Amino acid sequence: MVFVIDDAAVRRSIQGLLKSVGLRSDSFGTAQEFLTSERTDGPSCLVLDIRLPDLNGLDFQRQCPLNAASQMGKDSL
Amino acid sequence: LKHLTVDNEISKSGLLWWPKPPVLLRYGMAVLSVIAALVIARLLDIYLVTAPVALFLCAIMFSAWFGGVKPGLLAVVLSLLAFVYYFVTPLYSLALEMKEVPRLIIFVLSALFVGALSAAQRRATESLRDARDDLSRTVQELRRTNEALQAENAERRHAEDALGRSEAYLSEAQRISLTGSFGWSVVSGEIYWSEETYRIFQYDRTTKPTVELVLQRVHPEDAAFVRQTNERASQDGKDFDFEYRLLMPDGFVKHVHVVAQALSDEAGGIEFVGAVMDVTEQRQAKAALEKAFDEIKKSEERLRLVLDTIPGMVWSGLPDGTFDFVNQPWLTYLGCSWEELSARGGLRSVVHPDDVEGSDARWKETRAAGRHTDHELRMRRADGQYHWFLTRALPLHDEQGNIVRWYGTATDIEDRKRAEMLLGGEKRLLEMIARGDSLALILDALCRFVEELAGGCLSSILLLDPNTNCLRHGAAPSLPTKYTEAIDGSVIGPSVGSCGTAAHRREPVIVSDIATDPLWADYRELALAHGLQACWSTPILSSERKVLGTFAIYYREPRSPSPQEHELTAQITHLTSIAIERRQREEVLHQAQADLAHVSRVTTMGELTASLAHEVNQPITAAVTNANTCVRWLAGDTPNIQEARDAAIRSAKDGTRAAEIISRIRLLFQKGTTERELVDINEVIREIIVLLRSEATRYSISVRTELGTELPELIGDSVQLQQVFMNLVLNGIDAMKDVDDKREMFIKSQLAEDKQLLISISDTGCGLPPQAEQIFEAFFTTKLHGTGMGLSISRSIVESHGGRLWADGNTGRGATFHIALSTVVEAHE
Repeated sequence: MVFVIDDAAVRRSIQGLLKSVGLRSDSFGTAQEFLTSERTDGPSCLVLDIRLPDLNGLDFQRQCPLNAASQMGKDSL
Repeated sequence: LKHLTVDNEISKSGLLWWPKPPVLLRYGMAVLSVIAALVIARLLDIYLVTAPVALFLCAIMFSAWFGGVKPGLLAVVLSLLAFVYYFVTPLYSLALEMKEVPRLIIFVLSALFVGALSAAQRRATESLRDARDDLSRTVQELRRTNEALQAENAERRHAEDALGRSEAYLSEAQRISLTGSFGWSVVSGEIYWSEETYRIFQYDRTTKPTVELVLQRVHPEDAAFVRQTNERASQDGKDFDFEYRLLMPDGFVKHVHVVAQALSDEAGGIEFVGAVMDVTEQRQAKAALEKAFDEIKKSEERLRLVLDTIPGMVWSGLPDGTFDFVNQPWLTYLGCSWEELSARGGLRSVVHPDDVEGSDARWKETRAAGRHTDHELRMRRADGQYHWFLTRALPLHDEQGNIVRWYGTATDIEDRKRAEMLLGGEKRLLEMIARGDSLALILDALCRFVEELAGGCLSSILLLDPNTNCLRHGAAPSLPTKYTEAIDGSVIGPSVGSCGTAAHRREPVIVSDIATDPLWADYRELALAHGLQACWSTPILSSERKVLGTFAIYYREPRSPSPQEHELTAQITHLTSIAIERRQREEVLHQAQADLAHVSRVTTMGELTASLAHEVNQPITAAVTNANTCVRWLAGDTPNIQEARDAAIRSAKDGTRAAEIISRIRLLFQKGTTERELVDINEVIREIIVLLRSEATRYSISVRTELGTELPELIGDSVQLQQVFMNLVLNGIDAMKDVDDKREMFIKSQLAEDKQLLISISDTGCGLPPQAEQIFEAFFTTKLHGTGMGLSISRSIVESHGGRLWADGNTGRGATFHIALSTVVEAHE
């Protein structure tokens, strides 16, 4: 599971919560960081914050190369 | 002349006169005559053989006639020998034959006879010649006597002429000098008058002068005196010398001066010889002179009266620098007489010690240059007080241009000087007020100024706190600190010393003697312990007649204020009220500015609610999530304590962060104070970035910073400065909202060379409007919903921190706002 949230504290807390339910996850602060990262396996789930410092979540979703395969989630925060 | 004639007759009788031949010639002649007779006789004897005895007789006769008796005798002897030898037999021998003896005797006798005759003839001739010589000598003597007589005669005639002339001179001299001479024999009563004496007494020369005649002419008023003097003189026979008046027949009054010397004549009688001088002219001249002197004296007295009466101080001095006169008003000012002043050391002794040197030098310069320029100095008055004087002097020159005297004035310019000082002080204080110096500094300067003007006083300013009716310490640079601390905070009332009462009554309270005044009952001990004996307090009233405080003058001795001190007090309280009111208005203005800034801030914050909520929400979300995680780790059969604790720690951290953000936001919402503190400008920038991060993110704006390291802190209001940065950052965000290109904000802080902090905030937005400077004006806005206050308030905040705020258009897109802030602490703030 991968999620992109700019706020470090929120990111860290969600990562902790996922860990407590036994889910392994990767997290990034910006869309750019995610896009340039080396992924070991394809994500099962990508969670995006709607407000990101570089792109907003919706734009990112449109641009995402994994567009078809990805599950989408919307950050309600 | 008769004698001369006789003399001439004698010299003309040539027959009787021949010179008496010398002896040798006379004897020679005898020898020669005999030789001639011998030669001739021998020749005759030879040729005629006759002995011409007669020839020898002729020789003897000639010798005796020519030479006298003795040459005659010689001729006789020689003739005898020659005759015996040559003509008597035996020839050519002196032997004598008897027969020849009678011849010889006849020869001798004839020879002697002839010789005697001739000698007698000769003697007669000689005696005649002697008589002629005597006569000639007598004639000579007579002639000399005659010449001497003639010379004597001439001399006498000369002397007579000289005497005649000198008498004429004397007479002339007497006439010119109007001095006659007289002689007066007391015994005979005979009086001699010179020509001039007659003229003086106006009597005819033919009149015989008498004492009565003199007395007739004497002025009736002097008659007794003259008579008395005359009588005494004739009795005592002493010299006299006196003056009296004559009354002439025509009524003219003459003054005569009579001097006489007593002499004794051969008979033992007294005779006076003297002179009468007509001194009328001298007397008149003297009288005129006396009158002139009198006039001068009178005019001098008048001048002195004028000098002593004019309401000014006048002096005169000598070229050597000494002062020889000061007029009465000056002496009155000094409270001493001229003699006392001289004894004390002259004017120099009353000059203020600080001015002595200067005025000495000035006076020296003045005398050297011969020109005086205005000079100011202080002189001690009779009561010991010093007044300022303006001195002026002018030199008096003699015909050669030398300075003979200095005249000068001294004008009391104390009032003007005080007014000048007052004006100067007022100006200084008003400058301080206008410059915005701190109130404490101004009040302190006011007190010092009063103490300088009114020597010996101590002053204080108390400020009234209208909320508590307490008088608080304002300024009192010279009063003992313990005293000012003790009275600080006194509540005003009807009997609270001078100040408390003055503030209560709203009118001046003059306490001339603290020791006895009932108003000081509660503070008497305190004041007297610090040596304060008099206190005059005046309320300081605002322009709305509100009591702002009190101004008090203390003295260390009991005393009442003079009119000048009243005036000074009024002036000072007025100035103080200006300073206090100005300060109050400034405070009101500051408060208004702060309030406006606050309102603006709150408005802005309101607009940012969504972003701020998000910013608060984030840590809360994280905290809640972490709390849930923690719970999950603790649930189940095998709780993971380690993970649970990590989650709990994260939760707590997030909670703290949320609280911090909220407190920051709350600070910005708070009504600021005007308090100043040390501010780290980078911290202010960071805080604002934290708060506005969400806002920037919302519009996809990246914020980049380059904050200088080790920047000095500045003194200011951090909340207001945050407001400035908030406004500028939000402006930048606004400018970039509608830009499709890169949206980037760059904030930079650095230290400039002149110790100024330079902060720039650049954006890549739409840039500045054409009328760039208007953006700082109030109510100017380019935004649809803007208030137009943001930049205006920002600028006033920066300026109140002694800084500058300005904007530049970027070379590319967007605008840059610059802030320059001083880090140097201002002395007066």
